[in-house]
This record gives sequence, structure tokens and C-alpha cells, in this order.
Amino acid sequence: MDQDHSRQLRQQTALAQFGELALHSDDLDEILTEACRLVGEALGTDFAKVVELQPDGNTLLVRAGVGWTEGVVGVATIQATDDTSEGYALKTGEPMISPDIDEETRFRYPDFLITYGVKAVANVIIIGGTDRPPFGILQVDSRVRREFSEEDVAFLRTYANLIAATVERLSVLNETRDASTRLRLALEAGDLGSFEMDVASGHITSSDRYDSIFGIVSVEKSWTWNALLEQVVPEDRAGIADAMRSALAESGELRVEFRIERAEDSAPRWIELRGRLDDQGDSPPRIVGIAADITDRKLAEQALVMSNGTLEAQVSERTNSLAESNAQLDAFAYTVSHDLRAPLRAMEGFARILQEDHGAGLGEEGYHYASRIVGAAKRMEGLIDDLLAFSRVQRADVTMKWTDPARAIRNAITELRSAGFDESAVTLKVTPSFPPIKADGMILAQVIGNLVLNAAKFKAPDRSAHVTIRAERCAERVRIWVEDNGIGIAPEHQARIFNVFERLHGQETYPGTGVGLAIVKAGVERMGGTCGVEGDLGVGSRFWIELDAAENSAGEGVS
Amino acid sequence: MTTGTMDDQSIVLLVEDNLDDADLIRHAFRKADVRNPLVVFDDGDKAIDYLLGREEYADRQRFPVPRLILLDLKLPRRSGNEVLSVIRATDAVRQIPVVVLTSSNREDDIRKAYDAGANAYLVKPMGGNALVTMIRSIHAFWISQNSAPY
Repeated sequence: MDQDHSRQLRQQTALAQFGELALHSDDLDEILTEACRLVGEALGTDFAKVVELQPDGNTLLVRAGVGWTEGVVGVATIQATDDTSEGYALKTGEPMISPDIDEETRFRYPDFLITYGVKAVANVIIIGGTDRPPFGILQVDSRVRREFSEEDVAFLRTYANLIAATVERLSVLNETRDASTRLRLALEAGDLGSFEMDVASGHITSSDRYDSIFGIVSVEKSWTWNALLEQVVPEDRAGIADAMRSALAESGELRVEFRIERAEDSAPRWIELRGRLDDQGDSPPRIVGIAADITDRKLAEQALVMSNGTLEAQVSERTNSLAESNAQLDAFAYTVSHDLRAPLRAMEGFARILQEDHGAGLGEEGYHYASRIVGAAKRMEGLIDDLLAFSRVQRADVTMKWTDPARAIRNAITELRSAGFDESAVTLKVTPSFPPIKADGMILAQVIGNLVLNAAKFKAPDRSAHVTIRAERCAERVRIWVEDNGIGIAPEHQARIFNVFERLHGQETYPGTGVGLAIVKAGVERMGGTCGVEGDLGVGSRFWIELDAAENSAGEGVS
Repeated sequence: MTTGTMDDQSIVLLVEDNLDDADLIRHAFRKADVRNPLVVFDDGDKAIDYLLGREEYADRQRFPVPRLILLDLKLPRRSGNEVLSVIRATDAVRQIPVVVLTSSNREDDIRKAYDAGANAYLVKPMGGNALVTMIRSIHAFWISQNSAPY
């Protein structure tokens, strides 16, 4: 009895010590080893061990133990099959006792137990946490055959349960640590400070990064909402206060950008605060969130806005100067049309009066010179007209629309007729229909009119003039040909005849200003097209212009 | 209501600063056998004084209201359109037909002249007898055929 009593006392003392260790240590291996030591010692067995069930649900690894030499703890494994006492214990959850394994008929025993000369074995299960598989088994092994009393089993179960509770505590602890490590790393990676504000008092608990964002690396960490507001530049204070009010009263979400003054900076820094109201749990209502220094981003945004502004200013400045130079050109064109014409009119008019009213007094030679004045004045007038037309084509507002070239050709010919074009001198052949194009009708008519005039003018002296207008479609473009059987142009001159004032003939043979084809080129280019000429000297010229084709439905784009 | 004849002696007022053009027009009047006296002013201010019968033009016997005004647009000081606006704003003369006779064929000028109250817009012609022909038609239409309010 005495012996029993002192054993009981010993067991209770050991249990108390273990309980203390299990509550305070974070080291599971230490705890398990100590448990093994204490139960081995208390039960007087040679060996004790904890085998841990592996994730495969079948293998048990010797996780800790006493009495074993090297090569067992952390190494030896047992397969928890039905023919092992371990498997049985795991399956039933009941303690398994084998007083003598030589007499045991139900189970096989692992080789290392036999090698160590184990005779008697007691197993109790270490349960897992809620919804989890068992952690493993607490085992004591004896080299001598022995019985295990109910008290012994109860004693073992006490340890097993304490171990189970400790395992659970540590796993929760580890998960919490993992989560907080993850959070910390994520915050660090994002360069974010974290804070928590007690809503009632306005007291703020903060991370180190939060402190450095707000600029004080002080020992005294006593942040409050009011202290924060004081740091905010005055014009942003209303905004941040509103944001907080709305987070508390309505949305539960704080999201605000503002500027703060820091002692060490010359300029305010931009800060973003984001937080959530937490008023559901047991703890008093609080705002939990992060703070970020967004100064760089803000500066970049401002730079972008400024450069956009500068760009816009430049564009508008250039637009203005363009408009101005257009206005100057306009004034110039007016001057040309009005002021240059007036003296010409006078020269021509007075020379003609001389001829008509004073012809007799002039004599033949005087009359001839007066004619020369009239001729020169008329040429000059033609030049002014053409230059004006050229300048108009270059500056006119171009309105691209669905256009039927046949109509533009008709308009061009009507226009030529009213300007005194002698149709009878030319056989003009126009194909009955044309693919529609995108063009400005007025400019197109002028371009075609000039080409027809040009074709008719350079007629060969030995044959009557034939001019053909036809079109061909080339993919997305339409090429309109104006072909003649006139004198033609030598290939080496073909490139330059579209230049303004370019002439290939003297005034006596083919009078002209050298502007007509330049108007063609300018007009076609204004409409986004191209032009050119083929043919050869003596056989005629084939002028072409090429513009974008339009959809074949006449409905499209007509207005 | 007056309908003119070849012998109608109502005057035509020409506002023209270019003396060459004024001479050519005068010559064309003769060539076209238009006998209406041509009163020529080379600036808008004087033309307005005349039309309003101010200063030395107070005597309407000597300086009668014209039957027709030929108006150039580009004038020193007061432009043709300004003269036109004053005419149209002055009860005594606002019904007088005004034919703009100018060098400019700019759409903008044409529009503005009609806005200011022009009755017709003619571009000074060049070459041959174009001007004589034009003066003849002006006379035929505005003086012979047209019924004037004065």
C-alpha cells in the first residue's frame, strides 16, 4: 500500500511537472520526449515512445522516445495494419495491452521491438483535434513480461490526452504564426504600414513601417487620430475627416488620400489610408487597415497631367499659328485678286481705248504695241486666276463624300463650256458609268476639268483631238484615266509637269501659265489620292488620278 | 414712280477710289451712250455727305438724290459695306438701288455685301468691251427698266 501510495504521489508530481511544460513550451519534440521519460519512469518500463501517424494515414513514425539507441527515434516506422496492435488501437481508439508478445496471437510486432527484446507493450491513442485524424500513439514497452493495471492505463491516457491538447495548441499557434508571418511579409513587400484604431478613443496601434511613413521613429508610440489630423495639410483635413465619418457611420470602409507635413521633408508627402471597420467581434469597435506613401505615384500622375497640359497648350498654340498663317494667306489671296487686278484692268482698258478711239493717230506700229499691252495684260490676268485657283485648292475645306465621277465629269464640262471652252474642237468620249469614289465633288470637278483642258490644248497639229475618260478599279482604289491623242510628253519630262509654273512649250505654240496640272496634283493630294501620266512623245498622253473607292450602294454617305 | 429713258437726266453716283477704274467707267458710260450725269467720289465719307445733303451738298437742286449708286467695296477709311450700311440706315436714301461694282469675287465679300443691303453684285470685267457691255446692261436694267422710288 505504501509503495502504491508513494508511486501515486510520484506519478502526480510527474504529471504536474509535465502539465506545466506542456502549457509553456513551444517545442513539441521536447514535450513528447519528456512525456516518454515521465511515463517510462513512472511505469518502470524500459522504453516509452510516441509514434506519429503520417499524412498517408497508415504509417507511424517514431517521433520521440526514451530507452532507444540511435536509429529508432525519427527513423523507425510501423505500418498500422489490422494485424498490428497499433493499427488496432488507431482503429478502435481503445487502449491495447499485450502482457507478453510471445503469447500474443492477434498481432505481429515490428522487427525493431523484437531486436530490443521487448516483451510487454501498452498502447493508448493520442487523439487529433476536431475533425482531424489521431495524432498517433503513446506506447510503453517492457523487456520483461508484465501486466498493466487499469490505473496504469488511465495514467497513460492522461498523458496521451495532455499530449493531444498540447499538439492542438501548438498547431493553432503555428497556424497563427504562419498567418502573421505571411501578413508581415506581404505588408513589407507592398511597403505598407498597418494600423489599428480604437474608435472610441482614437488611439492608434501601428507597425514600424506605419511609423516611418508618418515620419516619426520615436520610442514613444502614442498615435491618436487627432495627432494624425494635425499632421495633415490644412486643405486636406476636411476630406480625411469626412472619409472617417462616412466609414464609421455608413460604409464601414475607409479609403482616403491626403498630404501630410513631416519635419524632415521640404514638401508634403502623399499618403493613402485604407481600412475596414470591425465592430462585430467581442473587442471594442476598431478600424483596421494599412497606410501607404503614394508620393511617387502622385508626382508621376501630376507630371503626366502637366505634360498633357503642355502638349495641349502646344497643340493649341500651333493650331492658332496655323490658323493665323491661313488667315494671312487668305489676305494675300485677296490682295492678289483685288489689288493686282486693278492696274491690269487699267492697262488693258486704256490700251484698248487707245486702239479704238485713237487708232488713227497711233499709226500701224503704235497700234501693234497697244495690242501687245492688251495681250500681256490678259496673260497676267490668266496667271492671277490660275494662282488663285491653285491657292484655293490648297486651302479649301475638303469634304470627302460618296461621289459618282460621271457627275463630276458632267459638272466639269459644263463649267468649261461656260468659261468659253470650244467643244467642237475635241471629240470627247466618256464611258457611261464609273465606280463610285470618295472625293470632294467640287475639287474633283476642277481636277477633271483641268485634265480635259490640258488634253484638248496639246492637240497634235496633224490630227483631230480625241479625249477619252474612263475608269478602272484597282483593289480599294479607282483610277480615272484622261487619255488623248495629242503631242504627248517625253518620258524624261513626265515627272516634272505637275510642278507649279512648269512649262514644256513656248507661249507662241501653247500659251499657258504652268499652273493647271499643279492644281490637278494639289487637288488630288488634298483628297488623299495620287496622279501621274503615261504615254510618249508624238502618240498622246494618258493622265490618271487615283482615289479611294466607295461602297457601290449609292445610299451610303450621300447627303 | 419714275421710269427712265435714254434722256433721263437723273444722276448716277459712283463711289470709286481707283481713278483708273473711275475713268474707265466714265469712258464706258460714253461708249454705251449712257447720258446720266456721273457723280464720282473717291471716298466713302464724302459720298455719305452728299447722300445726306450735308455741308456743301445741302442744295438738293444742285445735288439731287441719285437714281443709282455704283459702289466699290475697297475704299479708304470707310469701306463700301460701311457706306452701304449708312445708306440703308438713313430714311431719306435707304431705298436707292445700290450695285456693288468691285474687283473681288470672294464668296465672303459677296455674302457680306448682300448682308449690308446691296441690290446687285458685279465683278469689274476685263478685256474687250466687257465693261461697256456691263454699263449698258446696268443702264438698261436699273435706269430704263427698273422703277425707282424717287
